[in-house]
Amino acid sequence: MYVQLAITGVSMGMLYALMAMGLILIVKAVGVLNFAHGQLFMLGAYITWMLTYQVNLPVWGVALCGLVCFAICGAVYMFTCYWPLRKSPWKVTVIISTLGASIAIKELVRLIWGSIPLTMEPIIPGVIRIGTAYLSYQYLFIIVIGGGLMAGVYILFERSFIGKIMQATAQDRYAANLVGIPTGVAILCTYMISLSLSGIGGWLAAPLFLVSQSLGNLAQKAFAGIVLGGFGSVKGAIVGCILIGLIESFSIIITDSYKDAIVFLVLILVLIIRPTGIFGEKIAEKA
Amino acid sequence: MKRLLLFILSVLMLLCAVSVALAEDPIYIGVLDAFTGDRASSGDYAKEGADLAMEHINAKGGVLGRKLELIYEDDQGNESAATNAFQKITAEHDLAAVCLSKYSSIVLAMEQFVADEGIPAICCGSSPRLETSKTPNLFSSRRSDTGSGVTIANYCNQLGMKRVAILHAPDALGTGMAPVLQAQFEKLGIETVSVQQFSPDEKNFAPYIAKIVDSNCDGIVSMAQQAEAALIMIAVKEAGLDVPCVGSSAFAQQIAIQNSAGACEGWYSVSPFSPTAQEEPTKSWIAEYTEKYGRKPDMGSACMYDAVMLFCQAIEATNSTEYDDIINYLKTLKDVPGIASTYSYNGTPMLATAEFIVQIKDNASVVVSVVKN
Repeated sequence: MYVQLAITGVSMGMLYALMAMGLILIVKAVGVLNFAHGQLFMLGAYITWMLTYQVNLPVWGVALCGLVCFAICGAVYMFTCYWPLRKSPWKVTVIISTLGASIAIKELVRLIWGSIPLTMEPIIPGVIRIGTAYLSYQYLFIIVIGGGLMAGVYILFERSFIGKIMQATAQDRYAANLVGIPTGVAILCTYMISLSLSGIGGWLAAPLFLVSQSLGNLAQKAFAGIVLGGFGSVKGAIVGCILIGLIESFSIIITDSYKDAIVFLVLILVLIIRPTGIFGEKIAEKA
Repeated sequence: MKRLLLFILSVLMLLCAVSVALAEDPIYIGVLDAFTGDRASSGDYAKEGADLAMEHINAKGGVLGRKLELIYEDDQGNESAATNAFQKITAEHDLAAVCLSKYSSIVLAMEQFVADEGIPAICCGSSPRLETSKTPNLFSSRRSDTGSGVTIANYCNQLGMKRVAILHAPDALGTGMAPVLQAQFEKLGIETVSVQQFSPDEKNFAPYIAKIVDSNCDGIVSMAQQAEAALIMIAVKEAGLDVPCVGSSAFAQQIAIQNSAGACEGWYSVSPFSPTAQEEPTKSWIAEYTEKYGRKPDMGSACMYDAVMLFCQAIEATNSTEYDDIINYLKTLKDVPGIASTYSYNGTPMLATAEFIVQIKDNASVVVSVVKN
């Protein structure tokens, strides 16, 4: 049982980490938490379902067209929910805008695709057995693809020029503007990458959890992972989410009904001991 | 004289117009269900069933010569929105009766408002708490989970289960049926080796199934709503568990079967309705529904259809739309045939008297036997 719980925990943690990466990118770019991220994850699942079953594309076609669609969605989302409010003196207006977007996206999806949950075949069907434990090939796919994306995001941000521009914009937009960095383009790229990550996450999660409007509820654990790992740290978000996945999985040994309560209790305890999270850095603002 | 005649003529014409207008006033029945939110799929089926009932009634000339109109209100699948929706629909419309959701927790949240309003209400829920409700104007077109739980436990015994694992939802369905099952298992000498309640909005059932595997059970009983039912069936199949499995009614419904990707094969369920029923008028009704909506009906469609039809029958029989007349008529029901069941009043709000034990074969729920009160 413990092997099975560990495998499940890591698999779910990778899924949460995919969502968390996209969230962190937007937090770093514009400084607000995107409360519509779960619904964007869900939208990714619906878009890939549409490409697979209504447009009838092969897997590689779904991946390519899906990325294009997610990037377009990212641009549309940025221009509707962030750009008009970017100069507002209160950051909370952008947050409220994302809350509204989350409701709107959920109901838009219902209007387009209906309310009945949809099924998506796994990319690779079947399970692999490791003794008494088993791992669905889809979970294995998530771990591999998730790992690849994490490496890709790391290389993009740490080793590429575009990544450095995006980091500069995220750290100090005013200074970035002063040195001639097109911050608007950098923010747009961040949104497009963020939504691509969440869209891919939705595509990978859909065969496991059905394509439904409640798929976005998985974002709650991604939020918890980000906070646990250290707000603003991509590495922290990944580690935090995997920890959340493992805690969630192993908490079944203690209780089945209050699994989620245990996850958030552990989160609170960690924050009491280390308020900045596991990898978070203490940042003090000078007067 | 001329003026007097003109005046009298005008009054007479006015009276005629008013009487014609009154005679043309439709009879309104309210329907509250989830049309948005996470439970909107069940609302869609319920609406189709209700619309079909309205169509049938109006095709036969309506109720008391008046057209039947259904007023829909969205309870969003949650308790607080449901109470607001109920108050809104009863305040804004002159309803003769109201049909409520199949989610017992939502109906129970509205119960006090239903009692205060006094309006006859038929829900499609089955919680034991509904069975013991003292609200005189609240009924259900289902059999209670108490009866269903005993049926499930007895069938588990028939299947030869000796060590049963229970996995149930955190809602009124799961928390209501689980103790009934355990009590009946104890009477039958069946050991309950594991009882787990999953979290609300749960998607990942692998840890729960891992615990079930570890319990060394020889049978599984699960109570869940349709989307969760599909995920549970998939998780059981992936775990390679080859034991008899019995689910609550949702396991045999269309959403669960379609979304289980074949993992539903062999599962048993106790359900008030089977879309493969062969008895008339249910068989013809299923065919008509399938042709009209392009998909098979599910339990929610059939129960909501019957709820609307029962109200119309009550209004016709009493020649009245007064609340008390309809309520008193419903309390005299005996062996009234419907689509999902036969309806009788037996002193409790639960009007349905029968349900099916079904097994899922080739992605369809096939009736194994019929259980009656």
